[in-house]
Amino acid sequence: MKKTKNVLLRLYYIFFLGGSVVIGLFLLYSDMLHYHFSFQYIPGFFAIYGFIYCAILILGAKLLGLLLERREDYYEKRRRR
Amino acid sequence: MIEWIHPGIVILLGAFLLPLLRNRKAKQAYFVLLPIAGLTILILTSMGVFGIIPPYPDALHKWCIPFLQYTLELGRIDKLSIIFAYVYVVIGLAMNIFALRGKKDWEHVSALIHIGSSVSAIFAGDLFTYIFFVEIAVWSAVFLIWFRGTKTSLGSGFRYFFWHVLAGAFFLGGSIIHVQTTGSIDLALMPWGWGWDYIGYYLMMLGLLIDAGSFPVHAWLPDAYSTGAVTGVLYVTAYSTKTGIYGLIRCFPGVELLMWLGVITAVFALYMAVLENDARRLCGYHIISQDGYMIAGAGIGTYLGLNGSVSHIICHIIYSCVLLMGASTVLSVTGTCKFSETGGLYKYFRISFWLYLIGGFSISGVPLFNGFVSKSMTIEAAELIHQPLAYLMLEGATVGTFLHTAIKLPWNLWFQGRKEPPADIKIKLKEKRENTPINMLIGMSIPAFLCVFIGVYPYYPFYDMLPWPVSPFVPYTTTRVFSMVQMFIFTFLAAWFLRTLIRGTPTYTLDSDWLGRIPGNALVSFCEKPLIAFGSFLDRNILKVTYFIISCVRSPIPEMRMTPRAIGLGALAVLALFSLFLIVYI
Repeated sequence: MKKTKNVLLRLYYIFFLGGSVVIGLFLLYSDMLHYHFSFQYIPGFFAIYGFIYCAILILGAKLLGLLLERREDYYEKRRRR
Repeated sequence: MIEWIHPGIVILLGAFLLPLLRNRKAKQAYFVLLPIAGLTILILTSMGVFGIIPPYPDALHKWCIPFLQYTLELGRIDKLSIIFAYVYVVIGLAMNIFALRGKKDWEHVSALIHIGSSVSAIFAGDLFTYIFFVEIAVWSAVFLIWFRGTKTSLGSGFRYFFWHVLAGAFFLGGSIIHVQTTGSIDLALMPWGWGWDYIGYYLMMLGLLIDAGSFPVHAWLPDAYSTGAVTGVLYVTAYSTKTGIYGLIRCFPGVELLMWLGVITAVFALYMAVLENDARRLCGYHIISQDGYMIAGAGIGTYLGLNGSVSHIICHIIYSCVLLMGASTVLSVTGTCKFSETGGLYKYFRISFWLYLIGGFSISGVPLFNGFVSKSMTIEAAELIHQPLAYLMLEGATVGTFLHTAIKLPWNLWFQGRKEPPADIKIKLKEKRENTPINMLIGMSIPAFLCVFIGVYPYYPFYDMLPWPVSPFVPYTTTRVFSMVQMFIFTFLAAWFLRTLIRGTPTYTLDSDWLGRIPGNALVSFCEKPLIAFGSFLDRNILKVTYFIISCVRSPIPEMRMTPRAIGLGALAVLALFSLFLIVYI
C-alpha cells in the first residue's frame, strides 16, 4: 500500500490513534467520571453526540446553502442593474 | 507616588508622530516600541508602582476630570480592566510586528489609534468616556478596512461604519435615558427587567450586542473582516467585538436573554461557516461563534460564567489573531485566500501552516491548548446552573469549530490533495520552504506561544489575573479530557465520511445583512423614484386646481362679471324670493 504523503492526514491519523488509546485507557477507569446530567453517563454519549452533531451540521448547512448560496458577484451585479 | 500615565492615551497620541519620522527604520522601530511602552506602563501598574490594585469590585481611580456637573474617569484600574488591557497591548505588539513591512504610514497610524482607543475604552470608568473612545475606534477601524483599496472594501467599510454608528447611537441614547433617570454616569451594573421603564437599558444592550457581533445583528462582521486591508483588518478582528462584550460584562451580567442569544450565536455561525469559501470570512464566522460563548458566559452571570467569559475573551483574542494571521500570510503572498483558488500550498508555507494549526487546535478547545482552559469554564457554568439545552448546544459548538478551523480550513487552503498550487499562484511563489516574510512569522509565533503556554499551564499568571476567584474549577479533569477526546475523534470520523461536502465552492452565502442590502435598498430606490414621482404628480395637479380657482376669483368668466344689469337681476331675484316667503308664511 502506498504511504500517504499528506502531512495533515498523517497528523490526524496519529491524532485518531492517540485519541483511541486515551479513550481505551479511560474506559478501564470509567467509574472515575463525574457528570452533572444523567444523559452524560450513557456509554459513548460524547462520541455519538460528536458524530451526529457534525453530520447534522454539514448536511443541515448544505440544505441551508440551497437557500442562501449565490454567485460570488451577487451584490456587484445587483448594483450595476 | 508617581502619577499614573494612561497607556491607551500614550499609544493613541503617539500614533500621530509616526508620519513625522523620516527614516523607514526609525518608523518601524517606533511602531514596535509604542506598544512596548504601553506594556511597560501596565507591568508597572500591576507591580503597584501607582498604587496597589484592590480585589475586584474596588478599583483605583486615576485621571478623573471634572466635566459639567459630572466627573469623567479615564483610568479605572481594576482586575477586570487590567487583564483586558494586557492582552490588547500584547496582541497589538504581535500584530505590529506582523504588519511591519507595510508601506502605508497612515495604515500604521490607524492601527495604533485603534489599539490606543480600544485600551482607553477598557479603562473608561464612565459611560461617556467609553462611548467617546469606542467611536474613535470605529473611525480608525473604517480606515483599516479602506486601506485594502478595492471597491468592495470601500463598500464594506461604509457598512461597518453604518452598523457601528447605529450601535453607538443606541448605546448613547440608552445612556442618556439612564443618566436622566438615575443621575449616575458610571459604567457599572445596570438594572434589568421587562417593561417600559427599562427601555433605555434595552437600547444600551442592543448597541452593545451589535458591537459584540451577536445573532441576528452580526452580519457586518464577516463582511468587514473579509474585505479589509491584509494586515490592517487584524486589529479590527482583535478588538472591535471584544470591547462590546466587555461592556456587556460590566453592564448586564446575569441577564438570561444574553445566555440564550449567546448560545444561538455560537451554533448559528457554524452553519454559515460550512458554506464559506473565503478563509477570512470563515474565520469571521468563527469569531461570531466564539463571541457566542462569551455572551452566554456573561448571561449565565455566576462567578464561573463571568470568569469563563473574560478568560475566553483573553484566549480568543490570542488564537483568533493566529488564525487570521495564517490566512493573511497566504493572502499577502498569493493575493487570494479563497478555497476554490488555493490548495497545495503546504510545500511553500510550512512554518506558517504549523503555527496556524496551533491556533486551529486552540479555538477548537483541544486539551493542552488555551481554548480548552477557557471554553470549558463557560460550559461548566452552564452545567452548574442546570441548563442541559444550553450545555448541549455549547458543547456541540466545539465540534463544529474543530471541523472548520482544524480540518476544513487547513485542508482547503494548504492541501486539497494536491502537491502543487494552481499555476496562477505558483508563479508568485519562490522555491523555498517558507514564502512568508520573517517578521510575519515572528508576529505569529508570539500569540502561538501564548496559546500553548496558557493551555499547558493556565494557573499563573492567567487564572491569577481573572477578576473573580477560579479556585473550585479545575480545567484538566479526567472526565472532561475523556469526553472532549471522544467528541473530537468522532467529529473527525463524521467529517471523513462527508469530506466531499466540505470542499470550497465558489459561491457567496447570504446573511442577515441581505435584508438591508437588497429589500432595504429597494425600499430606498422605491422612495427615491416612484414615490417622488407620485408626489410630484400630486403636487402638480393640486397646484393646477388651485391656480384655476385663483384665476376664477381674479378674472371671472364673462357670464359671471359683475355688470349693473347682473346686479339688478340678482336683486330682483332675491326680492321675488323674499316676497314669496312672506306670502307663504304670513
